[in-house]
Amino acid sequence: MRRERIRETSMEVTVGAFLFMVLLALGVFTIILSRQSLFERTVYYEVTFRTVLGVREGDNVYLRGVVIGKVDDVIVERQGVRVRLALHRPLDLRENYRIEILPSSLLGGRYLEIEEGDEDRPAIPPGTPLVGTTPKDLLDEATRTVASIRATLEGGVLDNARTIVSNLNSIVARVERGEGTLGRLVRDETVYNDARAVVANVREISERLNRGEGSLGRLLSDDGSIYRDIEQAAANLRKASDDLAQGRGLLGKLISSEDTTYEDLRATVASVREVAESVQRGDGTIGKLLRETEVYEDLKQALRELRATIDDFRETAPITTFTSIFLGAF
Amino acid sequence: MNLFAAVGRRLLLSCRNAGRGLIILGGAILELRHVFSRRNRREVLTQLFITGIKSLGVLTVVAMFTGMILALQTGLELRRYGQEVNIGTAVTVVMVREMGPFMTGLVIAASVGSAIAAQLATMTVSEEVAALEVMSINPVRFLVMPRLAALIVMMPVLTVYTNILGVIGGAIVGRTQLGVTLPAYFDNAIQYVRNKDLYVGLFKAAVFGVVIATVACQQGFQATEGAVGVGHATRRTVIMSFLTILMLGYMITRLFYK
Repeated sequence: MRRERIRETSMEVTVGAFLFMVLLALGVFTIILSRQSLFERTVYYEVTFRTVLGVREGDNVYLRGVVIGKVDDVIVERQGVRVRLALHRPLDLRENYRIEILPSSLLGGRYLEIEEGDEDRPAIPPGTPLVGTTPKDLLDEATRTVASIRATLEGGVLDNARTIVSNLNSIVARVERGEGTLGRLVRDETVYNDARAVVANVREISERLNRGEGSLGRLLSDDGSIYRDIEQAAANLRKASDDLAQGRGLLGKLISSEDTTYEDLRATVASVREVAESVQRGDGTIGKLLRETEVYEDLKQALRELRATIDDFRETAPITTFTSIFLGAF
Repeated sequence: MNLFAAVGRRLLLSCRNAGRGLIILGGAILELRHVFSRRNRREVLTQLFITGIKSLGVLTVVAMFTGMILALQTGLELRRYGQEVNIGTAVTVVMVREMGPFMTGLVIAASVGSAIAAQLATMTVSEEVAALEVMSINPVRFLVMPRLAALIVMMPVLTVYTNILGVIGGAIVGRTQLGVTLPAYFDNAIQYVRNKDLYVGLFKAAVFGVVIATVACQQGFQATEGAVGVGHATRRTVIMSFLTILMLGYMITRLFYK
């Protein structure tokens, strides 16, 4: 009997303890899920939105990215939707405050973001009805964007694209049939053979260049002699050019801005012309010599006689010289 | 013709069984006022112990693995979108709303319901129930009411236990296999669960308790043909309980979540 009583008591304690623990857990769950803290002061605010896009009781409220409370209730009214917020701290709202509903992820869910406003703006008096910013639905925005793109495409872009594709098809068909230059390039093997020959020639030229053959090859070769010659020629040209530019030499002086040489040359030419004209007129000895036959004949006779005299002297010179030397010894 | 007759006979039999079950349930509910009487208290306590404490072992395993499977399946899919942190919400919502009461109902139907049916069927075929009636002891008050009371009380309690273990199982998988930290998991777990979800789930569990007790007792009292009848009663209890739990689960969900 006593054992039975102990067994019964043990059963009662076990069942009671289990029930107590589960009920305690249920209580804790209930408190957690009700999102109300027993030890924190809760401040309530009411914000009116035109639409809330699915905000639900229990959604988070953020202030500068920190959770400061939850949505306590959502009440549909004629003017819009009144959302009651249960916050852990009071707000310091200014005139340019902003309360908006934002999507928490692409998969769904919403949260409220509060911006209290600039500190230099006047504070909102207590009891002022708060108005939230109408939220933007990402899906709706995406739908509008797609619709806009579609409208743009259907407004001519698609037709143009179709025309381009049609033209491309036509071009490809012509190429396939071997029509036109491109078609021949694709279909005619002669072009291919020519191209191969050109490539072979180019390769041969390239190999000759590599071997340093020919002028261009030598120019490209590592020897560098032609290059040095060209460089030297270029230096000489540069020097001549410098001389010309600086007015050195006759040509330089002629080119230079100074007119002295030019004037001298001009005067010289004038003098020569004057002498030539004088000679032409028969002025002076040379003129007479050129114009008068008698003077020419006299001069010719005189020269003939002079030559005979010189010949005589040449024939008598050894005797004269020997005699002089012989007689000189005494 | 025989086919129609057979179907009709099965239909009538089902209606009769349902009617008997409802009569037994009605009688047991009326007898609930005696639940705290001295004579019944011990029996109710015994049934609470059998239903609650003795089921904890199997329920622990079932609950933990249910939560772990849920976390793994949803987590692997959510990881493709970089949203594996949301397994907390997925596991908790599913466990609290549906899987907690459902899995508890199945386990209790399979373990406790079948045991009740077997016990009552044995008493019926051995004419112990008839003997009780001869002694002017109401079998519904003496046998059904304590079991109904124990199941109505224990099913929600066990469901809370299942929910807790399921969420913990999900957290273990989230931490070890999906890289979701425990604070992130539990913070996310309570994001979208409401008290309504919790209490609708508990209401469902209580209804499942009523269903299990009614079906088991009705099948037990209806048993015939000795040991074979006991086996049939046990098998039918499990099957009918499962089917009824499934159908009522949908209806209650539909009732509260439109």
